[in-house]
Amino acid sequence: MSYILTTDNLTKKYGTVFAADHVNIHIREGEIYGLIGKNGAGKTTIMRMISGLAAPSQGSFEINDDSGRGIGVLIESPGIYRNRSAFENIKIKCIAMNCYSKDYVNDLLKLVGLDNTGKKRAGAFSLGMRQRLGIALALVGEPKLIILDEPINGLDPQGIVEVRETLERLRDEKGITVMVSSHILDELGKIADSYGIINNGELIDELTKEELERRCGKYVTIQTDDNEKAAELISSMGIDEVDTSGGDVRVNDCLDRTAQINRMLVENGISVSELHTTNISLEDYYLNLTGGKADV
Amino acid sequence: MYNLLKMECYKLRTSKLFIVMLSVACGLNFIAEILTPMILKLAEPAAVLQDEKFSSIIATPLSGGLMIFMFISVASYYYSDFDSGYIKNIAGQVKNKGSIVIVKFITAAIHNLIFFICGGLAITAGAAINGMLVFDKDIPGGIATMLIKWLLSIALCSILLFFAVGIRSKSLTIVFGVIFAVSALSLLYMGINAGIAALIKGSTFDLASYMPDALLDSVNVVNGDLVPNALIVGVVYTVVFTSLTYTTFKKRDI
Repeated sequence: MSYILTTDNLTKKYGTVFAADHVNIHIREGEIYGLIGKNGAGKTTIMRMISGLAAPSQGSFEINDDSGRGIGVLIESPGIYRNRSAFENIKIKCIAMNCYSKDYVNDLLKLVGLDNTGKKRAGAFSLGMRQRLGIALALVGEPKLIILDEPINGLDPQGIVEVRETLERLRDEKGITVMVSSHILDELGKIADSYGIINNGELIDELTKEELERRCGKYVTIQTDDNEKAAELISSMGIDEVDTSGGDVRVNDCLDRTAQINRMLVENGISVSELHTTNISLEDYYLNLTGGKADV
Repeated sequence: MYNLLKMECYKLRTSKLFIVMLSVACGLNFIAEILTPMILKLAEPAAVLQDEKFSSIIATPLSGGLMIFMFISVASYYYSDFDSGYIKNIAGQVKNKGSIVIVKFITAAIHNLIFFICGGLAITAGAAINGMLVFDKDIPGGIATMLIKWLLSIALCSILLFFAVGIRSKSLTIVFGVIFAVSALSLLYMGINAGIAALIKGSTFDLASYMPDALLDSVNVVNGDLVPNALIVGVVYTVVFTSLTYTTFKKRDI
C-alpha cells in the first residue's frame, strides 16, 4: 500500500513557540488515520498546514494524488453560510469545483443525513447538523483524502455512530483516505487503522492498529521463580506470544486460558507469586506515553 | 479561476443583502425622481421645472447617500467568506490562493456596474413617468462619465478589498465604505489644502483632485472636468490596492 500523504519535518512556529515541531507523518492510501493529542498539542496546526490554510515555517508535505481532486477539509468549526440552506452551501462549493448537479448535492445530503432539511437555514441547524454539513462540504469533488478536525464534536451518540459509519463507508466503498483527529479516543479506536500521537507539537509515536494491539491490548502478567522455564511451558501449550524481557512473564491475548496456564505452571513445579490480567486501551497507551492526565 | 468566478457571481446574485440593497437604492432613486417635481411645484407653484437630460441621469446614476447601499453591499460581500468561515472550504483547494482576490475584485466590478445601470434605469423610469425625460446630444459624454465613475468606484472597492481580505477587518471595511459613499473626507481634504496653502504661498494644490471618492462627485466628461485625473487615479488606486491585497492574502494564514 502506498502513502498518500507524507510530511517531512513539518514545522510551524509562532514567535518562539513551536506549534508543530518537525513532524513526520505517513498516511497510507485508503486508511483512516487517527491523530491523537491533548488540547493545544498541535493537531489542528498540522491539519491546517496540510490543508493549505497555513504556511509551514519549515519542512514540507507531499500529497500523492494523480486524480487532481484535491483534498476535503473540515477544520475547527464548519465554515458555512448560516443564512443559506444546506443545499445552497454545498451547491456553492460544487460550482467552485465544477461538479454541480442537483442529484450530486442531494446524494451528499443523504450521505450525511441532511436530506430532509429543505430550505431551512443552516444557522438554525443544531451543532450536530452543522458538523455533518461540514463533512458533506469536505466531500465535495470526491477528494481522495479528507481531513477532519474533531468531526464528532458536539454530536449525540446516534450522530457519532452515523459519522463513524460514514467514514468507514467512505474508506471501504470509495477508497477515500481519512485523516481524523478526535478527543474521544474510544471512538477513534473503533475506526482508525493507524495512529499518530502528538504532544507539545511533536509526533511522539506513529503506529498501526496491529502494532497498537501488540503493545497494549490484553495480556496476562505472571511473576514466577523461574521465568525462562515458565515461558517454555507456556509455549508448549501452543501459545506463541510469550515475553520475558520485562522481568516477568507476559502472555498476550490469552485471558481465557489464564486458569489453564496457572495450573500448568503449578503442576510443573513453578511457583507463581503473582498473576494478573491487564487490558490496556488506546487511552491508557496514550496517557502512559505522554505521562499526563487525560486532557484529550 | 473561471469556476471560482462562477461561484462568486452565483453567490452575489443569490445574496439577499445584495438584492435588498439594490432594490432599496433603485426604489429610492425612482421615488425621488417621481416626487421631487411634485414637491417643488407644491412649494413654488410658479417654478419652471427643467427637463431631465438623459446624459445627466446616466452620468450620475447613484448620487449622495444612495452610494451607501452600494458600498455596504460590496463590503458585506467581501467579508462574508471570513465571517462565516466558508473561506476554509475553498482556500485550500485552489492552486493559487491569490486567484480568490482577483475573482472577488472582478465580481465587485460587476456588482458596481449593476448598481449604476439599475440606478440609472430607475431615475430614467421616474423621469419618463413625469414626462420630463429628454434624450439630448450629450449621451455619449454621459456614458463616458458613468464609466469613469464606475472605474473610480472600483478603485474605492479595491481599498475596501484590502481592508476586508488583506487586513481582515470587518469594521474598517464597513466604516470606510460609508465614508467613501458620503464623501465624508472632503472636509479633511479642504483642511489639508488650506494647510498646504498656508505653508506654500500661492499654492493651488487641491488634494480632492487626486482622491477617488472626491473625483466620484466632481468628474464630468461633458464639461471636461478632471477627466485625466480621474482616469489615472482610478487605475493607480486599483492596481496598487489590489496588488497589496493579493500579496498580503497569499502570505497570511487563513
